[in-house]
Amino acid sequence: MKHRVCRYEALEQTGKLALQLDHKPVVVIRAHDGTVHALRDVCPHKGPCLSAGMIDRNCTGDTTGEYQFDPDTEVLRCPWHSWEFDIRTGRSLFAPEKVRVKTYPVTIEDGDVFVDL
Amino acid sequence: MSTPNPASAPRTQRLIDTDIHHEIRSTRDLLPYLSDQWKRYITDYGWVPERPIPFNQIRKETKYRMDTRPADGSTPGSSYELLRDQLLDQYDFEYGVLTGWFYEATVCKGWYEFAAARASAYNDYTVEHWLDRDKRLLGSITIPREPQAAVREIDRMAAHPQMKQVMLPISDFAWGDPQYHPIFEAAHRHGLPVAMHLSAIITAQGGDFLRYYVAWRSLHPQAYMTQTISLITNGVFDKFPDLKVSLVEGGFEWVPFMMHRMDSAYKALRQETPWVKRMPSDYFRDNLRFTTQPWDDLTAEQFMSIIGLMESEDMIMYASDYPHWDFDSPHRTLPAKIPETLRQKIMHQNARDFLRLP
Repeated sequence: MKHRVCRYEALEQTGKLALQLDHKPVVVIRAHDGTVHALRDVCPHKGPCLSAGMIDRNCTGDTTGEYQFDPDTEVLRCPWHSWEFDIRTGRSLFAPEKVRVKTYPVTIEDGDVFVDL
Repeated sequence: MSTPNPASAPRTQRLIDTDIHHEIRSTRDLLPYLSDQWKRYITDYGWVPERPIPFNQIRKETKYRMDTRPADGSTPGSSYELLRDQLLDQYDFEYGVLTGWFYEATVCKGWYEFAAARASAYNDYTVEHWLDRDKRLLGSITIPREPQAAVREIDRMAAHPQMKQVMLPISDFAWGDPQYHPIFEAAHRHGLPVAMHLSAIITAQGGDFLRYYVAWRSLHPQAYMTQTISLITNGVFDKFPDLKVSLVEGGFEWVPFMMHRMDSAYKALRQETPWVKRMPSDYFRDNLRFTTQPWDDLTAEQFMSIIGLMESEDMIMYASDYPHWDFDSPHRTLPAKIPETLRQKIMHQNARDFLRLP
């Protein structure tokens, strides 16, 4: 079922929005490139709301002491133990096949953001 | 997030948290408890505690849980009201042990008279701003490192009914050395256990802090191993057989390894330390306690194998480490499939025995 959650401009200001849809906690995130993504707002590790965490660029590197920002990946970092999840896929960066957060389809229609549960 | 228990609801589980870091907002919180001689270093001459640790984390609020900053922007852990709401009330703790975060007064090097004054001031601050406001909160006596001054501070604070242990932060020296035995004697004389917790300057084999925070954090158990070995080989528990010492935030998976390794060494090398009368693993079981946090995501099977190797269900106590980033919720720490009797021991009974609570 599709739920209208907010105007797109609202996400431009806050970056992320936490809400309950059908009694399910959901966090809606606007990525750096303007796309919008929705994830279950619960960390699968210890349970805090991921929306209380922070959005950050993914940092990579191939040799000791090298740091490079990955322009294609943004992460939602848990407010407690810093587990990082790709905001597009919900997959963790350390074990993407095993540890992930559920994602929901997002559409934008006439400036309104919809999440499909 | 967990839902707070309504005040009228019966407790579904008894809980004691053995590691809560209350903090001062700044050193100015200590001014009411310092003499004029020491106040002026803070008010007029810009003294602040040394910050030896070189790391920060890429996290909003760095070392703290991201949701623990008080609304007025002050230091996480410095608001009694927020700590009460986010921890004591939300999880319905029966007791919570304040372990503070002012270990610099104990582990600093030099200017020991000022360090002793800071330790005393921090204890007075803890009593007035925390213990007197909530009977669920229990305190840890902060001491200076110099044994004579430490004993004076223990003697001064031990009568407070909510001061339940003496805190010995772990630094770059070993507390079992005989020069520190008067501290254990004073704690023992007052019927208080001792807690040890990492300070911001614990170092280990490999070179001070190592290069990265993830490396430094991973090696913390090294320093805790050092303390347990030092206490046992220096005969602390032979002098004070019923003294209890907890090792807080240093892990416990390594404990069976060290019990067996020390037993093995003792069988061959006992003659070097003839004042040590029992097998080292006996002191581990009878005198040493360890805490759950940081919980290393063990399965029930893995955890039970460690308990089996320890041959004791009495050695581990629950700790949250609030408000630090690696906080462990009491609802999401121990695996679901462990025996209920063991769960009860870890979540409250072992701490109750350690702290001599009713």
